[in-house]
Amino acid sequence: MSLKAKLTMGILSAAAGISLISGGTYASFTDVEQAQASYAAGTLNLELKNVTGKTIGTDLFSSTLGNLKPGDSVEKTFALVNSGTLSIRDVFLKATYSEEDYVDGADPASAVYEKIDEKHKIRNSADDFADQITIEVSSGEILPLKLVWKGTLKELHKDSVDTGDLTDNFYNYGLPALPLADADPVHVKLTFKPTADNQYQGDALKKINFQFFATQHLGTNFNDGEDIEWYNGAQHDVPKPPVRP
Amino acid sequence: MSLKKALGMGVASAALGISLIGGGTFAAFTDTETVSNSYAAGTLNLELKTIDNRGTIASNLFTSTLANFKPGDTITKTFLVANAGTLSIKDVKVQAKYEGYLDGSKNGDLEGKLGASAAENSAADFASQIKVEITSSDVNDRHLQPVWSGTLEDLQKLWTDDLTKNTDNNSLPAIPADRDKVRIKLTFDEQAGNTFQGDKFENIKFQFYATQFSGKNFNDGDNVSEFNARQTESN
Repeated sequence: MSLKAKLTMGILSAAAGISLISGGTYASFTDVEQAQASYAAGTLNLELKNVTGKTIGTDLFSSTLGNLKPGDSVEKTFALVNSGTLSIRDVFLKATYSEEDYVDGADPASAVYEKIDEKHKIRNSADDFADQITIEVSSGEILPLKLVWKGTLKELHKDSVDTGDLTDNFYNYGLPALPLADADPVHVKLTFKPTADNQYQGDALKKINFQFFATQHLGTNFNDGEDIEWYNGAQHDVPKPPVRP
Repeated sequence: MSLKKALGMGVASAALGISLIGGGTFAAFTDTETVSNSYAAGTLNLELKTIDNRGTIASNLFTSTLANFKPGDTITKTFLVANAGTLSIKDVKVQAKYEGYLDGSKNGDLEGKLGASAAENSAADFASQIKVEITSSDVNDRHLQPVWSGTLEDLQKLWTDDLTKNTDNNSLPAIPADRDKVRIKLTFDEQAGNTFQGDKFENIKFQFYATQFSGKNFNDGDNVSEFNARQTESN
C-alpha cells in the first residue's frame, strides 16, 4: 500500500499568547503559526512464493494429494516473502481442517466407495485420519534446513498449538522489508504414516488449511529526527536466549 | 489468494508506542496467509474373478463339491486375480488353512461303507496327502510358470511366492486395471493309503494377500495419484 496515503493531521498549534479572554472583543497584534506533519501507517504483508518466484495461489501443493498409500510423503520448499513496508518479526504456521471437509472411505458418498473391499469399509473420524498424517516444517537459509516442528495434523489443528516461529532460523530472525524485501525458504513435508491400516482406505480431507500468521515488531519510542520509515522497514528480530543445558 | 491481500489498515491506533494496557486486547498489525490442499488416501483392493472376468468369486473358490475323491484324482481351478482398487498392488501371495477335519473312521454316516483298513488319522496326516500346485501367467497365458508346489500341510504354514512375479509387469497396477491368471491344482496323492478313506475337511480356506508398494517420497508437482495407480515392479 502506498506510503503516501497521507493522513492530514492538521495540527493547529495556536501561537503562544493567544488568550481567549472571555467576554468582550478586543483587538491586539496576533500571529498564528501553522506546523504540519504527515502521518502514515505502514503495511504488514506476508506472501508465499514458489522457488520460481511465482506467488502461491490457493493451493500450497500444486500436486493433487490423492490416491496416497501408507508410507507416501510429499514435500515442498517455498519462500516466505515480505511484500509489505514493515518488517515482519515472526511467522507461525497452523494447519487446520473441519469435520465437514472429511469424507470417510466407508461413506457411500465417497468417490472411491466402490473401490474398497467390503471388509475394509470401516468408519473413522476426521481426527482419526488427521492423526495418520505427519507434518514436518523446517526453515533456514542454508541446507539442510532446520526442523521447526514435527507432529501430526491432528496436533497442529489444536487451538493451542502452532509450529513456533519459522523465522528464527533466518540470519536476521525475521523478514525485513528493507533494504530489499526479504525472502527465506520454508519446507513442508506431509507423510501418510506407514502404520496406517486398512480402516483409512479411501479416507479424504477435502481441505487442509495452512495458515501463516505474520506479526509486527513491538512499537518503538522514536525521538524526533530519527528515520522512522527506514527503521520500521529494516528492523531485525533478536535470537532467542540459549536453551538451559 | 490475492497478492495484494492488503490488511485493512486500521490507522486508528495512532498512539506512538503501542501501550499494552493490562488485560485489554492487543491490536497490532498482523497478516494471515491461508493456502489449502485436499488430502486423500487411496484404496487397495484385490478381487478374485472368474476366468471370463465377469463374475466375482465370493465364497467358494471351486464350484465343484470336492467330495468322494480317490487317490490320484486331481482338480484344477483357473481364475483371475484383479485389481479393483485405486492403488497398485505389488505382490499377491496365497496361504491355505484347513479346518473342520473329520476322520472317516469316526464318521457315523460312513458306517459300513469304509474298507476294512480305514484307520484313525490326524488333520495334518490328511493334509499331507493333498498336493497343491499353483501356477500363474498373464491373462493371455504368457509367462506361465509354477509359483509354488507342496502339500496342503505345508501351505498351511507359509505364504507362497508372489503370484505376479512372472507376469509382464510383476504386479497388478490399478491403471490400466490389471489382472493375471492363476491356476490351483489339488491332487489327492496316489500313494494315499486306505487309512484315509472317508477323511474330510469341512473347509479349506484359500487366503490371498495383496500388498502395497512401499511409500514413496514425492516432490511437489509430481502426479501422485496417477503414479500410485500405475506403479509396477518393472517400471
